[in-house]
Amino acid sequence: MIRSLSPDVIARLRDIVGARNVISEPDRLVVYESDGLTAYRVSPLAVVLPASTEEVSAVVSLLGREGVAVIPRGAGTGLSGGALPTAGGVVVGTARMNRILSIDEADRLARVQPGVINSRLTTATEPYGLYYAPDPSSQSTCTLGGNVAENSGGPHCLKYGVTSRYVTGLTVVMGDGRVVELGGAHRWAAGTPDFLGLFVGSEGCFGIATEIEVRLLPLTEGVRTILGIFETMEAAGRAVTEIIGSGLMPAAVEIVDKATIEAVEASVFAAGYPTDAGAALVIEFDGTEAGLDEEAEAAARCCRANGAREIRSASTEEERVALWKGRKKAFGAMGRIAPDLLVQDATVPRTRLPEVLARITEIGEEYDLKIANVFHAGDGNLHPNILFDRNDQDEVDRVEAASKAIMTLCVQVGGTITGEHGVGVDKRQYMTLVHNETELDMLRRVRRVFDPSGLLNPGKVVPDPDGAVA
Amino acid sequence: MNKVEAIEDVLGVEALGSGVGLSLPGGATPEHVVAPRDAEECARLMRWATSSGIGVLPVGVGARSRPFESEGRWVALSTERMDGIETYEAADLTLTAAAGTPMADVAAAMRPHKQWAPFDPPRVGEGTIGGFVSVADSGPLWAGYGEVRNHVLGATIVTGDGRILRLGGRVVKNVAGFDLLKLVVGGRGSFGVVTSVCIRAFPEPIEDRVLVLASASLPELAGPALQVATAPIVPVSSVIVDRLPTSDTPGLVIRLHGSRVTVDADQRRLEAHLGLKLATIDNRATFAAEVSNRGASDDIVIRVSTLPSLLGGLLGVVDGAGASSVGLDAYGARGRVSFSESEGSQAARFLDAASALGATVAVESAPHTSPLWARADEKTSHEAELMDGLRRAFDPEGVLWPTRS
Ligand SMILES: Cc1cc2nc3c(=O)[nH]c(=O)nc-3n(C[C@H](O)[C@H](O)[C@H](O)COP(=O)(O)OP(=O)(O)OC[C@H]3O[C@@H](n4cnc5c(N)ncnc54)[C@H](O)[C@@H]3O)c2cc1C
Repeated sequence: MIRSLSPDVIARLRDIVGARNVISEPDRLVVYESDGLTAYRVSPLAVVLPASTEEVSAVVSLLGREGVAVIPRGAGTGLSGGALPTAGGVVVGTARMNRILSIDEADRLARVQPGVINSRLTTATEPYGLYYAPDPSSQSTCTLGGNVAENSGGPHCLKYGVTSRYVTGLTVVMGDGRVVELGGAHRWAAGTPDFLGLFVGSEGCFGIATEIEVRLLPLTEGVRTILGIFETMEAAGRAVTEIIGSGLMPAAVEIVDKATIEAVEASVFAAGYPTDAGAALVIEFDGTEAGLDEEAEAAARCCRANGAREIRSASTEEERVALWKGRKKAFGAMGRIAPDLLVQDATVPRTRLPEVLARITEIGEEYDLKIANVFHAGDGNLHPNILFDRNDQDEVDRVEAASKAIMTLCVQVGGTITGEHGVGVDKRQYMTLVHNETELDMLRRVRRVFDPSGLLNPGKVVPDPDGAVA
Repeated sequence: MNKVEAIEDVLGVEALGSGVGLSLPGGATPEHVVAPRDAEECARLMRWATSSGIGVLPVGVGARSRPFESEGRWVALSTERMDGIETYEAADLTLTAAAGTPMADVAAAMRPHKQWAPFDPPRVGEGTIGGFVSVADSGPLWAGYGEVRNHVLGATIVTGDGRILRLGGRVVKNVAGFDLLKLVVGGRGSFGVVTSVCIRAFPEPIEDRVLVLASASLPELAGPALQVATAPIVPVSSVIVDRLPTSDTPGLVIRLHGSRVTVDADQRRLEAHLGLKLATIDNRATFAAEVSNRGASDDIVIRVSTLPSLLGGLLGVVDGAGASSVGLDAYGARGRVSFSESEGSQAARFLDAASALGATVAVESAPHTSPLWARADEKTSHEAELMDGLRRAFDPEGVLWPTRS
């Protein structure tokens, strides 16, 4: 492992990106020591902030020649340690690559640099009657480059699909500094294998995306939101299955459980959800105004048929924001009732939700931990959030054991270990639950095709052949 | 041991298929057609082929008329015996089937549950689910439902050297490791033999409305097509054809899905945006099927794509090209143009003219001796390099597609 960068390398990095865009003072490196998963912390040797594809290419080539690992970083909101520095590595951040390069109204495409914040793209395209559909809950801070690398989802991905559906082309700096183009909206006829789709979700291990072409959608005419209050999580789960199975196509179906409702209502974000309820279900429809009442009413009927004790509906934007509040502020509220929060992420077949949630409650009891569930119910994507105190080692150990039990459970019922937050460093240990050694070996081989030197985001995603994950 | 005995030894005599009715690349006459029953048998076959230096050509992966010549010894691999739906979880909207299962059977299984697979490439009902996924052509319905690649949740494949990989799973969101599944979907058997597939099912739309705008010429449709591509609603599909099934004139065919009320409102919004009225078609199913096959109904089929804003120029070129059949998706500005065998030189001129406009073009189908095949690939040098590297990862000995470079 390289322990420090030579003054010569630092000087050359400064030549490429400008002196103020190379950070190597220890006190300024602290913010780059972790991403949203703060349990892991490693200080990088330096942080470099290039402004263009050419600068990224020059930086990556230089570091490659020096044998220094490169850790791509967007906003650092990732929840699996994807942007966690590797000891002896240099973080290449996209914060300065924050320009929207073009908005093509007629073709409904935009080309952006990777450091553009997700929600900024929608703000910029709204005047053209267009928006960018994938909406991770972190959208006001996370970058499109990070979204591409994680193949991020969000509440409205139930109807609209995740990031990979909207990325039509990429400019990528490979591990050796070469610049390549993948995909392109106009290149359907070429019939090339889907290298673009393979790159999306590669967690910074295949290259650094330096320009992103995305497809935009027309703004929807109307929206209807309802909130169903249920006595039990099982009942809410059954309502979800019925809604989806009935042919309705809600834009979002999100659930918060009793523990979450209690946390939110006890916080400054109190949303007026009844604290004695077992679960609250937020259902949203969007699209052509004329059909929305009918759809919302049909969903409300499914809720009532499955035992909802109360249905609230929003007719103004203010009311809509209020109905969503308990869901959107859930993480913030939990952060206030416990010193630390582990946001877990897994997916199960939707019909298995009720039994999985019941079992997660039992796991919480077995390990004496408070687990609060907030999740994208429509596509079976769970976020069991474990509240703990990192200074309590015994509790930290129990969090780890409970996490493993939850992951194992999700895989047993036909699900997987991550639906949208990625593997990063955190889930490497669980990769053997879903892949055998032959499959893991293939993941390593494919990674080497993109990055033969192995210097791009090493120590992420795939466990080492000897089983080492740390 | 001769080859027949060797295959018998590895898989049993019943694994030798007849080859009758197989859709093989042009010029390909296999010594044998091998039809393994499942992934394990397929893996044994691939390992045997690797160790004996024998090539394996997967059939039914959308390379029907591609020229094929092999110096070495090779067998054709058919998925005909890997047939049957493995699990269909209607409530979860997922279906898993062995690769050789006919798409018609998949549709038939979904129908009683009022579900379907919303893809309409040419002749989608004729192939197998493995072929469908290997080719991954969504058809114009991608505008409303997304591409095939967004809806294949999992697949089992056997690599060139006989390793079985279970990729993805049966959940809608899954980012547990690099997305190798994306290589399989649309990979045309280059990275492995697909033996089983899990796809997403969709609830059938309550209302399926087909609307038509007939026109005197193709170029006249450029304006309305761009209007549709920039309309405030996205129709689930919009296709420009050179001949409407009903009137023999060119036309734009638009499909709207949703509840009755929504579809009524969408039609009104669309008509207001276009500033004209659209005719409603009654015989929807036959009409839509005929429309999807347009462009792919002759000996020479050329795939073409551009951007919606450049569709006008492309339609101008198509109009004078002497094509026998045209089907272009207006929302994606992509589709197919076909020519009869005797119009090979016109096809070549069309390829030149469309490329000169900046469109992407590639030959999909042609008589296997046709010089047009030189224009079958549009890979950039980086893509070619990635292709080579990835093929080496999945098929180190180059067993699959024994002649492909
Ligand atoms: C409160 C909260 C809510 C969240 N909600 C959601 C949600 O609803 N859905 C969801 O999917 N995620 C969610 N996340 C997780 C996170 O926001 C996403 O994973 C997001 O895409 C990360 O973007 P980022 O810019 O912060 O990337 P980082 O955290 O900086 O990086 C993430 C990964 O991307 C790589 N990377 C970054 N930029 C590039 C690039 N240009 N090229 C190649 N690789 C790159 C990094 O190396 C790293 O592996 C949430 C996080 C928080 C804190």
